[in-house]
Amino acid sequence: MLFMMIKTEEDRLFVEELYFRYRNLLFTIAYKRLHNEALSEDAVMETFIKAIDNLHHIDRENPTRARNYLATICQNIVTDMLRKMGKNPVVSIDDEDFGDVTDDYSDPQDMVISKEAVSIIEDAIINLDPKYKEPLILRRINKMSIDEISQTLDISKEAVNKRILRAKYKLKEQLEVKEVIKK
Amino acid sequence: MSNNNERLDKILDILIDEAVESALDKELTEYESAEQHVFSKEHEEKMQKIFNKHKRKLFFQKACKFATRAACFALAFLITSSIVVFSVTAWRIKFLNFMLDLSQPNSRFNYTDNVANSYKDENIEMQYIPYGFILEDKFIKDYKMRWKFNYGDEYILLSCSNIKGDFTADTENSMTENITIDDKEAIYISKDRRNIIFWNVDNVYYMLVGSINKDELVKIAEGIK
Repeated sequence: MLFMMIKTEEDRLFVEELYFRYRNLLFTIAYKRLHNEALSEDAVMETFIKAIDNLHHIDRENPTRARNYLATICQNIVTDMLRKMGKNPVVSIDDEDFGDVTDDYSDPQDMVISKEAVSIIEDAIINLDPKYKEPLILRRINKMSIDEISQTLDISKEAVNKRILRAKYKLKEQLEVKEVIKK
Repeated sequence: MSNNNERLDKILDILIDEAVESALDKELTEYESAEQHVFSKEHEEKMQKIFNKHKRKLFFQKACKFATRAACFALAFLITSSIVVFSVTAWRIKFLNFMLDLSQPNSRFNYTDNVANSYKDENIEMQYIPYGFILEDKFIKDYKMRWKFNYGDEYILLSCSNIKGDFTADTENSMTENITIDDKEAIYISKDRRNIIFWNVDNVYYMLVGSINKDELVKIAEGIK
């Protein structure tokens, strides 16, 4: 299955270029959570194996998007590694109560799309649990379908939907905390 | 209220779309400024192995592609040539004759002396017969004698008789040549795939006919006692 999606010499050179360009970044992402060099290097390798299988999702015209995609995959692999090591207890997504993103609110005119609101959301996304952040990024930045995200992250389509919904709920919570929106 | 919620949801989506890329950028920029990690030799080897594996695979794919293309060109050339050759009568006949000649067993014979046959009876002794030929038919009556040797579709026919006076041979569309057999004058006639040598010794007329080549016929004739 390895290099299944690499069909031309151009593809191969593109993957090699991605590797040498972003391997240090991916290592840093992995090391931040794994605190182990060997495991972090394995995570980098796994990231590329996975990325190669999903090469068609990588935006060749936009290096930032390609980087973001690789980083998301790497985060997911690290989460998976931690779960296998028992360091990241698994919560059954189906049992979680996500609440309702669209609770009853007063007039949304109260909520202004301001720089402040965007900044609050930015910080909230940075601090989101990777479990929720990964599908959100793949959906919003890489414009992947639920089905594709499900395959990439190796979780059910239902779980993908619920995690995205949960991410949105958590972001909305931050807006409430900062009083950008009011119930 | 429901309407408000829908609008809020839309606004939230806009905010997320605005913020998500810059949030990730912000986060990754921090990581990018981290010090360079020196990857272990083992990791480098593993990655190199992955890249090399793919290099080989691509080379193999390229070779297969090239071979397929070459085969297609060869096939197209063969089909075109066949159409051209078979559409022109003269070329068609030439080609078919050439193919039929190829199928003749002549080329399979080994004419070297050490594996050649010989034949002897009370009337004649043939010191040389090409390898593989065996006596199939013998006819002796009065002053006429005939021996026929066969090997597959190939044949050698030797006739001897007493002739008084002249004889006529049909040489139309054939190639004739004066040769000598044991210092005796002889005539070699070649027509289609049939070669003949006529000669006489002491009023005995010999006719050696065969589908084999001239040199072999001469060799057989010179070996007749």
